[in-house]
Amino acid sequence: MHRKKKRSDAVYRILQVSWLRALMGLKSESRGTRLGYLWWLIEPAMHLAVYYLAFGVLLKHGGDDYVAFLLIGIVHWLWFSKSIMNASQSIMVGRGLILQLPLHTGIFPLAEIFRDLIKQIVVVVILLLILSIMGYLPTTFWVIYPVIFLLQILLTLPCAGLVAALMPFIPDLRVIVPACLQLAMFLSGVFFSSDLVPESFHWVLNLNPAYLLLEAYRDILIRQQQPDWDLLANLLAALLLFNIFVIALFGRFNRQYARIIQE
Amino acid sequence: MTRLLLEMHDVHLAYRLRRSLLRSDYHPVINGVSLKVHQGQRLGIIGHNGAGKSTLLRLLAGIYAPDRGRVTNHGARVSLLSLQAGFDPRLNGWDNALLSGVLMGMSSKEVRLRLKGIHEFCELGDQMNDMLGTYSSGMRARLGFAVALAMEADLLLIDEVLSVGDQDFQEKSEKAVMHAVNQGCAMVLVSHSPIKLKKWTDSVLTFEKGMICLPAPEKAVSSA
Repeated sequence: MHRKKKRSDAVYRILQVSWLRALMGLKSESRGTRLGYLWWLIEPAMHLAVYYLAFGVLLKHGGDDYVAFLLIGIVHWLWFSKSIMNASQSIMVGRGLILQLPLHTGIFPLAEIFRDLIKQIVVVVILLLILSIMGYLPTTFWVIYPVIFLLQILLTLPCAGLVAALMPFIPDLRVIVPACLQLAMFLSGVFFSSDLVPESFHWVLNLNPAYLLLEAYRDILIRQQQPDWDLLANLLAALLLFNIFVIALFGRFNRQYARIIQE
Repeated sequence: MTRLLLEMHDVHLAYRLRRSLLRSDYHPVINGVSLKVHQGQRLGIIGHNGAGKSTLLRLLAGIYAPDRGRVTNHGARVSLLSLQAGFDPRLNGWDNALLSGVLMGMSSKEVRLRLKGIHEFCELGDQMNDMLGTYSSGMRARLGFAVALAMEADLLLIDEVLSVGDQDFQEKSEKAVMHAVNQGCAMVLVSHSPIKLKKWTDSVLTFEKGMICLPAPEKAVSSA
C-alpha cells in the first residue's frame, strides 16, 4: 500500500515537472524570435505552400480535395516528426540538470512532447477553422476527432521516448533519426493518396501507423465517413504494448543516464 | 541519539573510458566508502582535485547509482546545493525561481508559497520582473542561492566554497546556511581548502584515492 502511494507520487511529480518545463519552455521560446507564437502557424503554412506547389501545381497530383488533403497530412505529420526530433535531443540538452539534480530522465522527453502537444492543440483549432472556411463544414464525424488525436498521442509518446532513451547510448542516432523521419514521411501518405499505390500493396501501407492515422483524419474531416475501426482497434492494442515497453525501459535505465552522459 | 539521515555502505564506482568501438577501460573513482550522516552533523571532506569529491556528493544526492555497495536514504530531503539549476535567460526572475525550485524537488505550490521569501532574500527588488538575461552574474547567483535555501532540506550537500555575490551577500548567505544548520539541518561540505572546512564543519574526513582515510592528518586540519 505504502509502496503504491510512493509510486503514484513519483509519477505525479514526473508529470508536474514535465508540464512546468513545457510551459516555461514555450514562454522562453516565443521570446527568442521576433514573431513569437505566430511561428506555430507560419511553419505549417510554409510547408503547405511548398508541397502544394510541388505536387499540386507542378506534378498535377490530387484533385478538388487536394489542398485539404495536404493540409491535414502536413499538420499532423509535422506534429509527429517535431515531437520526435525535439524529444530525441532532450536528454543530451538536459545534461547539466541531470548531473546536478536527482531527476527522473523521463521528464526531459515528456516535457518536449507536452510542449509540442500544447502547440498542436492551437494549430488544430485553426486547422478546423480553415477547413470550415474552405467549405468542409463541421459534421457529426468531427466528434471522432479527439479519438484519433488521442491515438496519435499514444503513438508519439513511445516513439519519442524510445529515441530519447537510446540517444545517449548511441549518439549516431542524431544522424539516423532525421533521415528515417524523412523516409517515413514519404511512406505515410502525407502528400499522396492510396490510389497512386497499386491495390496489391495496400496492406503494406496499412502496417504504417502514421498512414492509418492520417487517413482516419481525412475520413472524418474530408470524406465524411467512418474510419476503419478494425484497423484502429488493432493499432490501439499495439500502441498500448509499445507504451508499456518504453515506460519499462525508462524504469530500467533511469539511474544510468547521469553516468552515461558524464562518460 | 540523533536521527540517521543517510548511509553509505562499501560503495564502489568506476567511470568507463571508451577507447574504441568495443574496448573500454575502467577508471575507479570510489573504492569502498562507508559513511553515515546524522541529523545536525556538519561533515567536511577534504581532498585534492580529482580525488572523487564531486562524485561522492553525486552518490550521496542520488544522482549516480553505485556500481557496488549501497546508498540508503532514511527519508531525508537531500539537496545538492546546485545554484541556478535550470535557469533560463529568456524568463523573468519569478518564473526562473519557480522552475528552479520545482526541479530541485519542491512542488509548484510549495515554491509559490515561498516566492515572497525568495524575493526578499535575494534583494532583487523590481528587477525580479526583468528577464534573467539582463542580470549580472552576481544577481543570478543571488537568486539561485535564495531558491536553493528555500528548499528547507534535511541535508545540504555543498561542493566547494559558498562565494555568492558581493561581500555583504556572502556574509548573509553564510549566516543563512548557519541558521539552517542550527535548526537541525545536516551538512556535508566538500573542499580542498582546510581553512574553510575548519570554519564550517565539526569533523573532517580526508578523501584520497577514492577512499576515506580516518582521521584527517594534523597538517591538513589542526584539531579544533
